Amino acid sequence: MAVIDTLSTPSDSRFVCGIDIGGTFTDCAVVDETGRMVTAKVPSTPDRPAEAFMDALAASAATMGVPLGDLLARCDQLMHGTTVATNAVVQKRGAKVGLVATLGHGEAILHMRGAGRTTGVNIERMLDIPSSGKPEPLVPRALIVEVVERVDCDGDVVVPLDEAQAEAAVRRLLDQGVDAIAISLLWAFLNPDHEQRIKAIIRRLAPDVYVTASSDIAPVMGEYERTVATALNSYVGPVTRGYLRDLSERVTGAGYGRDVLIVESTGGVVPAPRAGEEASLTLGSGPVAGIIGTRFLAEALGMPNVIAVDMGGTSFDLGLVRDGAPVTSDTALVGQYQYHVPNVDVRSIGAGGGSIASVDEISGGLLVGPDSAGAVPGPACYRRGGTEATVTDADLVLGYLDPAFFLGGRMALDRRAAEEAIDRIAEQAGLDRTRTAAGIVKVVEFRMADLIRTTTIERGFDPREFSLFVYGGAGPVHGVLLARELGIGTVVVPMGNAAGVWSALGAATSHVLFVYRQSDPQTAPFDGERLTRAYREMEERGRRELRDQGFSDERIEITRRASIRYRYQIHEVEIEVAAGDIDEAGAQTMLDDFERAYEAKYGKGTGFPAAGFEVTSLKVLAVGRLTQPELAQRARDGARPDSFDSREIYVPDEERFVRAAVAHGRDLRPGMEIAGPAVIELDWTTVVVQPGSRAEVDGLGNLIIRLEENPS
Amino acid sequence: MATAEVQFRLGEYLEVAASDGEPRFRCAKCGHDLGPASGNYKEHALRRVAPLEEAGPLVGDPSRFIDDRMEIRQFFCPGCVTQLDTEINRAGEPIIWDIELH
Amino acid sequence: MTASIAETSWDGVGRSYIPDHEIRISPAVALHRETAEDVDPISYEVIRHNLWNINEEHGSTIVKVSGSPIAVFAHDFNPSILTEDGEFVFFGPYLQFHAGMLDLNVKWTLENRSEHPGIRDGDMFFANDPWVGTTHQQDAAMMCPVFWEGRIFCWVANLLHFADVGGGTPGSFCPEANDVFEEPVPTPPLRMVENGEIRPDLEAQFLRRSRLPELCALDLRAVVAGNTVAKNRILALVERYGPGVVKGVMRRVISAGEERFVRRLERLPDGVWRDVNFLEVAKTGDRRAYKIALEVRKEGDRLIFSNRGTDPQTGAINITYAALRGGIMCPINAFFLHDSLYAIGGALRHIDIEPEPGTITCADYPAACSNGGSTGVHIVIGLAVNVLAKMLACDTKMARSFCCQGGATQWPGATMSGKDRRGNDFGAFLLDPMAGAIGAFSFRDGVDVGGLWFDAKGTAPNVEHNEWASPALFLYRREKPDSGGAGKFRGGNSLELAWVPHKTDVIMQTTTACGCAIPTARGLFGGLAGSPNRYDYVEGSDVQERLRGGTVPQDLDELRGRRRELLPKETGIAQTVHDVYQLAISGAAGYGDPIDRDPEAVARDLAAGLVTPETARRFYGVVVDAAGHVDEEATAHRREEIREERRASAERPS
Repeated sequence: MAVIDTLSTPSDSRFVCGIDIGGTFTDCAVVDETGRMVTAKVPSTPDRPAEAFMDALAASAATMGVPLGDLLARCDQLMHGTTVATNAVVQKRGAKVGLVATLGHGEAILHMRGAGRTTGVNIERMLDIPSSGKPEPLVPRALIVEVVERVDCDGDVVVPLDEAQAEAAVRRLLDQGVDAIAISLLWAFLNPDHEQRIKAIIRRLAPDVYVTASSDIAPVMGEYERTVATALNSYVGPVTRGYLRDLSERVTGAGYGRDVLIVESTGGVVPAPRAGEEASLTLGSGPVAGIIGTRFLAEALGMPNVIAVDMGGTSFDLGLVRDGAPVTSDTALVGQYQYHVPNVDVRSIGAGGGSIASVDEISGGLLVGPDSAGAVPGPACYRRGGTEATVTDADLVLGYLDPAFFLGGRMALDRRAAEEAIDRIAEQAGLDRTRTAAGIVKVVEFRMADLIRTTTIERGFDPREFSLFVYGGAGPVHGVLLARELGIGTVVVPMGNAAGVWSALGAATSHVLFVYRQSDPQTAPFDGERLTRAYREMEERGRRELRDQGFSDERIEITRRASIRYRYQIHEVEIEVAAGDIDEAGAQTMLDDFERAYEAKYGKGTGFPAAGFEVTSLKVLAVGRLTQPELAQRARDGARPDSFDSREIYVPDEERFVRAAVAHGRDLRPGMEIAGPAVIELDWTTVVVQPGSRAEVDGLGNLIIRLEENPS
Repeated sequence: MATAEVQFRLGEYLEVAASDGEPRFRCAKCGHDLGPASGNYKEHALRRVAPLEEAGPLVGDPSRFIDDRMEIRQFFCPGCVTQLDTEINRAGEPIIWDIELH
Repeated sequence: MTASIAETSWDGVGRSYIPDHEIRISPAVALHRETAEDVDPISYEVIRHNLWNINEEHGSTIVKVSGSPIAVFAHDFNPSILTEDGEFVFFGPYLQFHAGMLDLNVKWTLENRSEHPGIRDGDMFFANDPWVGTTHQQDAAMMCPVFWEGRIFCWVANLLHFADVGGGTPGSFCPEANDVFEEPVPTPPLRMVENGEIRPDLEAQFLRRSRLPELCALDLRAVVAGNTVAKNRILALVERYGPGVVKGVMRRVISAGEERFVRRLERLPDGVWRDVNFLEVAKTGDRRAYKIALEVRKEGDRLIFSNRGTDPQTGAINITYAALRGGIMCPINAFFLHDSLYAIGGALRHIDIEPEPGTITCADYPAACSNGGSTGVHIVIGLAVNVLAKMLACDTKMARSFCCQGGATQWPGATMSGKDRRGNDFGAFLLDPMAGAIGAFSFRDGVDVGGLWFDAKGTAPNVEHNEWASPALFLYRREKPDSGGAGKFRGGNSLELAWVPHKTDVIMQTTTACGCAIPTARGLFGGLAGSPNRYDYVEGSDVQERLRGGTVPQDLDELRGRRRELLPKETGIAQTVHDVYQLAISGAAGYGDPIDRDPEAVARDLAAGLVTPETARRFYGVVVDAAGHVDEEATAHRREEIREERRASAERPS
């Protein structure tokens, strides 16, 4: 457990609290009205996650010296990022789902548009046909039923729903013992009537069965991706809803008086009962919470553009904040399934501290990855059975990690085991130990830099215009060199020790966000009245539902968005649309804004106005603003300890070991500057400050590292 | 034949074995000899020529669209009648010498 | 190819261009050849990955700037990095048959343009000449020399399918053409870009041919932008590490790919492997079948391919040498080099092609070639799959690296036009065959609706996309039972779909396909072929009455009206709202004798509706009981019966 500030909170102070459940640890961050923060980290309890949730709260309360009941009673917002849905997908332990589809089109989810074999597959492995295949079906063929009905692309009914036949079809599913049902009919996003009537039939026949209609969860065009979204929601629905009910009962029992707020992939939070009904939106919410936290901090630091890298032992998550807002996407992947969902776009790339080094016997090149030792058997230095050289082993050999102070000393590393593993690679590569270790680090850093560059450039951004936030256990070791490779001038290790509970803090800095979508494709000239009508309908729903949550009008913010593209072109660009009635001039403004945004993203001269325009979908974001924790700035006294520890670390530019100052988290004071070469040992990670860069502790406890080479 | 030493397997049903120093094809299922490895094993197989419609459940009469006479040729092991290979070919075309080992 | 012919006529003018192993470059152009031999393992890996990443950025830049469905959905393009003398370093993960082409274009340019007009820093060369090196005129190459200190250090280049480059038919596929003069104009390499700028006179001349000049102008900018990004990043790399080191890495990428390829070849015996397949209906009104032959001869560490035995060039179904080579390279890349990160230059050093000129698969000027991308190259891919599979089958480990021929071995074209539901003109080309199917492996079944393996990033449209783009109502789209070829391991099933015009009076339909009369996905080792393409049509049906009556017909047999099959190349079909059009896309091939298939696997397929009971009995010899369980006795009996039928009807060897 780590305490950043000792809370001497007035006894009537209110709190905001964020809890994030990860695979190994459950993290808690509590912030009071004066901006002071307590963090806690307890072991996760994967089979009963609510227990670790309560443990983390209790640990925080204990640190603060208040009873848990008091903490909860004085807690205004209890926010939570959950991995229950993610785990259900990963462990294939979701519900038995039946699918109701339009007659003649029930197989779309099996066809996967012919791309199911390769979607989400690493490009390097895409031509390996014998190893490729479709994933296990989300809904097995036997549990797909088709109903007689047909709606066309204008939303007009061509064939009315045959209710008797539909009821018989639903009964067939119930007879097979499904726990959940997904309803996804062609064009239901334009005309949801048939879906809603089938939903009513199911509710009548089996009130306990979890039901998702595509017109509710993903009302956008494209039946494959919409059906996956619908089936996925039903797949993770029962377990998520059950967990959230359990959790809500526990915190209510312990003294909390409101709905727990659940982080969704949209980048906002919603009350737990609602999250239970749109369970698939909680997929990936952990990494998303990290980006929310990044956005919050970036705003405080006045940094509009941020590349956020979370590098752990096995994973490497990458997200972007652009102009102060998380970069979002309208589709996401779960395994090889692509589906429609508004989400903060976090890419997971398989590289981390556990990536294994090898020598290609033919080219003689030093390879790192794609195989990973993971946490078990893990790097050789963990002594958990792994014997292959990994990035973490190389970090240890190069002095970047202290074998006695890994994870704040919670885990001892075996330097000799790391050396032996590296030596085996060194022998194959014909290099000495140090050069080999340095090579492993260099290869992985360059590879990560390539991946970051590709991801930012694909979205039309130049990485040099960004700052780099690094968190996760293995990130801050490599941040400076990564930044240098990308031409980035500033690296931020957020909030010192709070980086270790970053997603929990991120959860605590969320706002309530309801996203409404409507796909009503139109070609220009747009029918302004139809657009206005659609927006107003969604806006009214948003206001009503936020008021129901107790938000006053001044805390409600409504934003309209539209996805537009050139006809015969594929790239859609989402723009913001002004409030009010959309007249001819308003429609023209939409087009002008689109053209500007398109050129900004895809380059000058890339537009194709001669083809005409198409608006594909409309979106309304309804935000209920919550109290944001205000972090306390501490005076920059710049005080330094009389002396630092020191140890030898490898400096790649000089190709030798150099004595570097070693600072510990407890020594850090606002305003303190440490020039590279230096190492800063935090409880959850180690920061390496290479020569040519300079770290400064700011008033919030962040480490801001500036690179001389890329002044920003 | 039993004394012949298998040199390598070739696909599902063929193998090449040395018999008195000469490499020969034989059926991998029943060991039936299918001639020298430098020749065409199909010439040592049972051969059935049938109308194209027998090439599969959804294959129709090609004369719907073309005047050339097409056929399916099936080659079976003379020992165990396993279907070693099939050809879809124009009537009168020579047997395809699909595997010629040097 | 023999040296004497190569010297005289394989020049890319009358006959396809085939460069000699040593190309002749005018001394007017200086090449950077210095190579560091001792690049350390770390720099090698860092620079190698960087070069790969540069090629990836090249590709994503094309996608970004172009934005056309051809680039973004069909991925009908490919970026490359080539050495100073035109050898592939990296090729891209997009459409694989472009692999046989960019090196030809670069070498031709070096041989023919070095002296005059010269090759200078800031230039880029444009070409869409099938005899120099593209699949068809729609595929245009843009080649950019990368100069370092006055010498050509390397080339970056790409091929992209342009939506319309002229010719008699929208989209530039010209099924009626008798020769290239009735098709889009082919352009041998010309200097389209000077000092980094597109020359307006040459651009105008190119755009003037197209029905979609704005789109072509945009695509032109896309390919220039892709090259520019790649060139600048390579120069930054050279600046940082030095030209010798970067070149050393390039050479080693090639030689490592070469070594990997040769080691795999070493596992295989020498010999010759051959196969034959057929195209049909060379143009509208024709009723003939055309033999396409391919053989591969392995001699030590070399593969020599030939198309000898292929019928003479004819009608509108021809391809040139480049597409023959590109088709061959598809399975080479996938079966031998899937782990080489698309570094194909080394393998190409060991591949020779000895084409027979004047044939459908190596046509001489001025044969019609604009359909090459949808017929000739696909038939070659399938043949190359089979001859290489039979070669790979000689080694038990390598035998696991191939798949039988996949679905849509011949693309069943369905082109629609007319008025959309608002009364505007529309035109559409059905992309559903992208859904494809994967053929059986030597150790497991193929993949139902598993895509096109040689265009792994391609995607089929949603039905909703189809209905939004065209005034049609799709009655169904489903897997066709029995479409995957029978075998010990079954080929993947493909799709069948049916539609009627909706909110319009009539849709004009054109069909373009081979593989309707003669199945083109041939099975291996006793496995049967995948199903053929098929266009069914019910004229004057009662479909509208049925829709009004509250049902959506799911079977053509339910309908009244006149049932017929459309011809493989039929034009002028006026489909009214009373006419139902059903397209069945060819399935993938099977592996091994069907009566060797595990009866339980057949029972599973039956339960899922993937094969029909009749096929189970007739081809697999499997009988199930009323509950769907294998009737072991009846199955054994039926399989013995099949063996008896075979014995009784087969000729003994002479």
